Amino acid sequence: MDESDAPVKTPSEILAEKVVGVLAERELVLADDIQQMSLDLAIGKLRAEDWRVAIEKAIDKGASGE
Amino acid sequence: MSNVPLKYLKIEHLRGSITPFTLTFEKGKKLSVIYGENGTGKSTICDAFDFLGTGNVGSLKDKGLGGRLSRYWHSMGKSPSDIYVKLETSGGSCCTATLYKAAVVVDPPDDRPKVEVLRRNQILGLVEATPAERYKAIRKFIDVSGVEASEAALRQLIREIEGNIEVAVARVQENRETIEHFWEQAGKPGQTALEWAATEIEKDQSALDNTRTAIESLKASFNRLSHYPEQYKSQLGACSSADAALETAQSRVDELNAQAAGEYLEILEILQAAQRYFARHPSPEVCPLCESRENVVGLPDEVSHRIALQDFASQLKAAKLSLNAKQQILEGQNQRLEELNKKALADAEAFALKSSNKSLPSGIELPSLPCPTDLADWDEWLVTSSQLIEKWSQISDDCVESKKFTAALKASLDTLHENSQIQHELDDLLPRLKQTLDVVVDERRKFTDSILHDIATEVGRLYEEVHPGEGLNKISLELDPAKRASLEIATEFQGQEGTSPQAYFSDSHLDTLGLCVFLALAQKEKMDETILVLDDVLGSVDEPHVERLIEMLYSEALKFRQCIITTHYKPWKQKLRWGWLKNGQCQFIELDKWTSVDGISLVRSIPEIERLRALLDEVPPDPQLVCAKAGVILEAALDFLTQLYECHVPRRVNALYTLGDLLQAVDKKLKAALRVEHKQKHLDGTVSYIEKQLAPHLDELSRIAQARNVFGCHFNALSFDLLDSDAIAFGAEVLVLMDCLIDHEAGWPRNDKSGSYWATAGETRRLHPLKKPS
Repeated sequence: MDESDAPVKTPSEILAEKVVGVLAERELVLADDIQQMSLDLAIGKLRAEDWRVAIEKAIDKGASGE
Repeated sequence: MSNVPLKYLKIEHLRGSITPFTLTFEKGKKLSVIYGENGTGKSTICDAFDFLGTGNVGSLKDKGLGGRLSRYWHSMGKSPSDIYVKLETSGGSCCTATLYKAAVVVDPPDDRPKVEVLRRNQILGLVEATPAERYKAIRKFIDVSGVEASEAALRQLIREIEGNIEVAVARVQENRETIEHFWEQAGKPGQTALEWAATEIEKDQSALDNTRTAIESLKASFNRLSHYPEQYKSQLGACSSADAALETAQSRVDELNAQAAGEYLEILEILQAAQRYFARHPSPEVCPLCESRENVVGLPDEVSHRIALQDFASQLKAAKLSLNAKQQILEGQNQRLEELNKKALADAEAFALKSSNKSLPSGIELPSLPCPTDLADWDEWLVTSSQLIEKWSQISDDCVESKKFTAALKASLDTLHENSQIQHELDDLLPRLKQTLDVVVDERRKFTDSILHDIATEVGRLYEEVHPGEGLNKISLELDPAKRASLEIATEFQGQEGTSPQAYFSDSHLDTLGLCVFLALAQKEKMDETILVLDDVLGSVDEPHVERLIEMLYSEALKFRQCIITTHYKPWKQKLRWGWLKNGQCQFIELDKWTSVDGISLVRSIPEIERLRALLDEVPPDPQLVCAKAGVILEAALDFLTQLYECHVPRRVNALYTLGDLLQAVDKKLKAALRVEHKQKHLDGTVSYIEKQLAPHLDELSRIAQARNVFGCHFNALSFDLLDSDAIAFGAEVLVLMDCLIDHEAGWPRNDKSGSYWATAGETRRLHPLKKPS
């Protein structure tokens, strides 16, 4: 797809990508999760339990030293 | 959406287009300036773009026409269904818009162009709007409501976790206190309550079970023994009774035997003889034995009755049987007594065995053993030990209590560990959640601040282009943190930051600011696909700034797919006509007076220099027309130069100068110094300049300037003596001078930013010197 034909990103989508990028960089969430997380974050569907699971997964991975 | 250049716009029966009107766009020119006096149809053209791009006709808004404005959209004498707008691109695609049941129908919908329209009456909208309305206008660029909703969920989670931690901490404290209490109950053994509790619950609980089982078994065994004295007594009584019954039975037998040994048999024989007699003499009159008549009546029956009563044999037999039975009963009772003894002794032995059970607590109090072998002595033995049962029960109960205590202690310790674990996990989780929230909040603020800052910077940049050096460029746009969806606009005024521009700016300044805000916002969103329509936005801009505003619009317009600016500002028309403004990308369109017959119509508008060129190209050229046009153009050029270099000219009323005044004002020193550098672009991208002197052309024009007066101004008989070629030469020389001095695409060299020369936009021409030589 030509770049100019790509759907225009909403401000929420642009911001969500920035946010999850920083979260992954600071190892607060797993890099594997950020794609879906970004989509949900942008449309307001990242619920409390989703946040918790994402953060706990990163904690668990850190604890297991992977 | 598309960014393909526009070819033409056709309007039929929309507002002022009572007859079909077609606006053709010149190839390669992204700016279309539509000039026309009031009532020529400028707004109708803007309405057509509005109609096509947004489905609206904005020029009718806020004019007190009520709610359903679409009823006024069509031209007088036409119906709404007659409205037809068509936009065709240079690529061949076209898009049409019609009105159907008050709804604008665009075909094909996907080709609907992106149009942004700013009208004169809207220009202050963003500046003077309330912060909330201003936010609405800018919202689409900073609307991160999706992220904000997710952020709210994260905040909620943090509040919940904080609550959960409080609960976990309270529970941990509660469990600690419970264990402390147990510890205190236990006499505080060991170093700490927790150490003690940990040791305590590790203890083998089966010992308690064994002890309790042993005690309960001992109790049961002892209980069994306790019943024996009673049973013994009872059995002993039964034996005595049996023995007494036996003695009675024996006495009876003995008694009967004694009777048998006396006269009983003899009497029985007499009675039996009498019975036989009475059998033969059933009605005797006298007793056959004593012959007495007394009691003779019923004597036979009496004899039979006495025989029956005195059935001695059977009595004896019965007595013997009874004796036998009693004997057996006695033997049975004696045997039971013996068995009871045996059983009691066996149970006593079993009790002795249970008393030696190693599971019994050391030092447990026991009865003296062995127990008496004679059951008769048990009563006394048991009485001395009766209080032991209670003691044993207490020990057994203690075992149960001890188990319950340990279970409760274990439960408390387990709960403590569980809650401590929960607290620990939440203590790990909470800071990360807070860090995450910080990231979300920080990034959101940076994101919106960045967008607002970009917009504000762009507004300031545009504003500075129009009002350079006025110190009003430090525009700021800020979201009010206390109020959602509220946008404040501020600037620096007289060194004071955060000033509200509406309070201190003039209307002209506010107009410019409003236009700058609109342009900055329009640039934020696919500007290369946007058709920007500015309807008469120069209204209140004052003369010193209008030129810079036009320059600013020129440069900004090129960023859009197409920019249409309508104006009734006549100087703009004149400046374009004289080529003062760069017009390389600008298509100048002039509208003629609107009539109810022709509707909107165009005026052919050609720059003056191009008109001169055209006159010279005519075959044969008209000397009078050439001289007249060339004279005016030369006056314009000399007016420009004398003002630029502040030359001395005779002062007259109305500042009217003759060609001669102006030619002489350019003195020798200045003339000799005047030179123009022409920019040359090479194929390899490099740039060089070719220098041209103005003096030869000015000298030549001074020499032949009379041709203009003779041919170009008035009827003059002298013209009969001059050659037409002189007139044509004058025109040609003026054209050469103008080609030398100005760039027909970039305008006149009037920019002194370089500090050493005057330049056109893009420095396509550099006019030297900067100042008049002294």
